Amino acid sequence: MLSTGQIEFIKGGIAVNIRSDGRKNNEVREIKLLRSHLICTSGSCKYEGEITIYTGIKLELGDQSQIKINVSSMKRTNDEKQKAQYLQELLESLYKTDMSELKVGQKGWVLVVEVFLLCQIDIAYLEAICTSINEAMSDLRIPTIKVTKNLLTEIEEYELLPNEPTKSFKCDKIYVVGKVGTELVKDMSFEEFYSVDQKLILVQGRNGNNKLRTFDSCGFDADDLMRVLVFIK
Amino acid sequence: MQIEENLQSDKKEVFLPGDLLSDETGFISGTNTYEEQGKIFSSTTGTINQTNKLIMIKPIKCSYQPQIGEIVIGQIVQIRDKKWIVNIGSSSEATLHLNSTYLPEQRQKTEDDEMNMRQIFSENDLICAEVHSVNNDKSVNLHTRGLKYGKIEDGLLIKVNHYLIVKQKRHFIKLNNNVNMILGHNGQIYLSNQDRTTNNQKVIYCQNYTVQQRIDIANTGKAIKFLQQNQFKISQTSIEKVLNYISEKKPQNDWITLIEQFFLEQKSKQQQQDQ
Repeated sequence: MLSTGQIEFIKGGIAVNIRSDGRKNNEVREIKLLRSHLICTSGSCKYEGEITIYTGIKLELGDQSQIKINVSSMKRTNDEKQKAQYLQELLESLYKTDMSELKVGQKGWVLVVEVFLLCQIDIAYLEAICTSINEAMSDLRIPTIKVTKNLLTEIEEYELLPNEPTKSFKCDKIYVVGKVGTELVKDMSFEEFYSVDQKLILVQGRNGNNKLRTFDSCGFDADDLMRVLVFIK
Repeated sequence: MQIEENLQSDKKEVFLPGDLLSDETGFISGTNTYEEQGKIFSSTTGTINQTNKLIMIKPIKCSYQPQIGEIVIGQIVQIRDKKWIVNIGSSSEATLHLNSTYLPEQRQKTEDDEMNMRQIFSENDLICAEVHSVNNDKSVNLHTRGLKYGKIEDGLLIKVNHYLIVKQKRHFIKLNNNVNMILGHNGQIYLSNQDRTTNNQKVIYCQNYTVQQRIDIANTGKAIKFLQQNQFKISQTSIEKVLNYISEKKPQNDWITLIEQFFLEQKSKQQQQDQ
């Protein structure tokens, strides 16, 4: 926990556009993104900055096409497990998209996204987690599958063609431009990319359509909001 | 890095916990060792240090061990009866008793003071104190008698490894760029614009920060962080050296590359001196 003096110093710095490490308000820390870092995944990314995050995407054939996100960290306590669960639900609600491109015959691809943090889970790392997932998604290679239907039995047969990977699927890109429950600047506006009315703003870009999302339009219920608030505390 | 340097500088054999140090009779087991059936074993990882018949182990890496008279920066964790529990980064807890604090115009502490302890220091407050005594169980007693010590107002706290800090005559320092620095022995460095170097003043003034002061503090913080990353010792001279080098070159864009150049020059100088 920071002391009141430290918080005042940080707030005063943000008000005059100098943060405590010399950056301006709209400058980000230096980060390094490595694609295809994990060999045995269909798409992966290594995020190196103030923290390190490994993200890998595993492909499975299921009844319905969907995205599953699993978050885990180095620490293994009950409190950490609960935090990870909340973060998973939060991320899954953010990455709810149109999955029609992932359909294979009557079945569909299930993207299992594994996120591993080399530190404790914190809501402050949401931005870092989202960028690493975005990067892993753009690295994703889905193998083509040949579907043949038996006309007599009407059963579909699947044949994997691993040498012909496609990159047809484009997932939504989530950019966190504000933080939950933190008041950064007194007079905040959309141009400055900060949180308005203490809500989370996310820019979603898919097929060139950018949207600004807040908590109200994120599909969160009251329960979800409560969980987020508990999580922040 | 530090571990490697320590090993290279000492060039001694490293003992692991449980390693036999001596099986001869007549030796005395010192710190970080234990005796079993007349034999002395190591209890931590480190190098051996022998003075006459006394065998000790000098640990390679350890938590901060406070000594009397050292200046530390800590955070209030808890308030108990007549005392505060302070986190100073050591393995055992540090306590600050109500009687060892400074109050203006006073005197003996009364019951009213005891009731209003939160007005002096509350939880999460940062304080600067001096180590008064170290008990047998390694718990530490602090004191804040004097205007230098006490609660620290707004500023920037930087945490570094405690073994990098050089012991100096003065730990309340005013740097060349008018940044006031408290160099805690426990590896916590506080940068602010409050002047604590003079003893004459009666009250420590809290001034609002100007933009230039904020830039200076940010630059000093960066310099300290780079010193830590490159495992250089942190002192007034080393920080001022880095800041002078930067101000001579007057960088507009690339602060980081300039600092890296500086460290490369320093390392090459050291190597030449060694040869």
